[in-house]
Amino acid sequence: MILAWGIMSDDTMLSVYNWLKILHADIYFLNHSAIEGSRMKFSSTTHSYQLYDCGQTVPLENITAAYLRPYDFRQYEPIAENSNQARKFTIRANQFHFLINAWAESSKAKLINKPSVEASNHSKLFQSRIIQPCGFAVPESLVSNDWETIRLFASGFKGLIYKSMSSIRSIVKEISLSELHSRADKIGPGFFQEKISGKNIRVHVIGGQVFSCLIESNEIDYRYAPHMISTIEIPSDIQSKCLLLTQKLGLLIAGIDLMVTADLKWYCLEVNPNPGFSFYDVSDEKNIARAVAELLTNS
Amino acid sequence: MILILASIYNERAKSYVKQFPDSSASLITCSDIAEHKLKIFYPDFNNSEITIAGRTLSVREITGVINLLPVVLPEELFFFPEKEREYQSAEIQALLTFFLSALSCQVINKPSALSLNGNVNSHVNQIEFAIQCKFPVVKSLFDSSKVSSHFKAGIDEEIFEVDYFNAEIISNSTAETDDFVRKLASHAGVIYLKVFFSKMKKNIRFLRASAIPDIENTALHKAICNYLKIKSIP
Repeated sequence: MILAWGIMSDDTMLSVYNWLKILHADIYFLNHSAIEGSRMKFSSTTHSYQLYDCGQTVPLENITAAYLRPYDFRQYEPIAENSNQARKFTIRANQFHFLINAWAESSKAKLINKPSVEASNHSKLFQSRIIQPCGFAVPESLVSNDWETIRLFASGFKGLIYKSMSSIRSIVKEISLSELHSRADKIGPGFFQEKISGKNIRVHVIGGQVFSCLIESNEIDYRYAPHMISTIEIPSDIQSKCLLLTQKLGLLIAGIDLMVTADLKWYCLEVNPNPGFSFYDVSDEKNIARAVAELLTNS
Repeated sequence: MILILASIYNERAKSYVKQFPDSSASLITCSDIAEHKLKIFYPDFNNSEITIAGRTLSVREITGVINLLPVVLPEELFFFPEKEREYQSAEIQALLTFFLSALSCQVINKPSALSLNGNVNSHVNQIEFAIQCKFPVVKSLFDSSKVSSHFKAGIDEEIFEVDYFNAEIISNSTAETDDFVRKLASHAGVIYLKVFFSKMKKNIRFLRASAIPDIENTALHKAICNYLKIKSIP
């Protein structure tokens, strides 16, 4: 049985779920948005986990693979802030996440992906230290809260990119020195990178398969701007580097953000360990979702 | 310079710094990182600098780190507006994860992506590991529907701690526990580990493990000083 944990309004989860159905997989969908009705227990006496969903026992011992795409439960309505009900909900939801993560860490099932290996994305610079030895170039980076240091760093490049260091989603943007100066005393340490000019390429590694696409947009962060996505073939040595990087990170699937410059220098900007690939899966057949479903069913 | 990374609220860490001779150690908190001049480069990490107690310190001058801070909580960042603290705590955690892993000196313990104190499993996974090692564990039940986890310990039980550092058991070595403590530390890949056991008559059972160095343990302090090749103040 395959456990799928997430929400159906997530196109990525939905597309994998649909392919699992086509492949006649035995699926248990655990609805994250109904987390209040989910309960998990671990007993040292029986050395076992028990999962209950809406009062029903989910046989974890039968789970051969799991696709975990949890959400930030604090976004769910209606959880009135500071109410007693909200506090209880938050504690229980946190404990449920804690226990399902503990189960995922020790489970023999095929996990996409284990929480501990997904965590590399919580620090982009920490991840960069794994990316670089795999043969990719990485942008020159600076973390600073000092205006003069940032100004000097920026002067060496054609542009400066400002983004979050952690996995908290932020809009990646180019920042001008005048804008930065006006905000200099209002920021904590900021994360800055040299602006790399080139073509945006997103690679999804699913098991041993590589899916690549080109994203054309006039904006730095194409996720929030008009864009065009088309599938492309990338050189075999770059494919090999993507496979190696995914393996080094301990991931079964990965969304790798690459940029190739006019002089064919390949940069890796970051790796998303739980990619929302539906955004890039432009094929009518939803080939990336199919590969994920096949990876889950071949357990 | 030895850095003692600790919570702003850790009063014991402030006095611990004085146990190192000739001002060879400095306390570093999230306030030093966030509020004072900082420049951290990558890939050019060796040119990075931080500011501690008004002094600019190159990362090349850092000869060791004792990390007492497993996670950056929003409460550490009281100097930021309240609505900013949660985001900034994730940012500082990300920065420290990188910073501690990039230093070429000894770091006790090196961070993992999950924790600044290394790859020590969650409490449930520690218990699972003990069971796999066939080491008895304190009866415990974790239930997401309950506010706190339940441990069933008898009133006559004594709690004792075993400290592991650099492949040695440095305090409370016992024939019953040493092998398991070594296995747990090796599994976690940490240089320091404190393991808590419950003891009733001759029955010893695993309780939990922590990778935060116990700065009140004089044997550990001496071992750390030897490891970092510095003299300790008795």
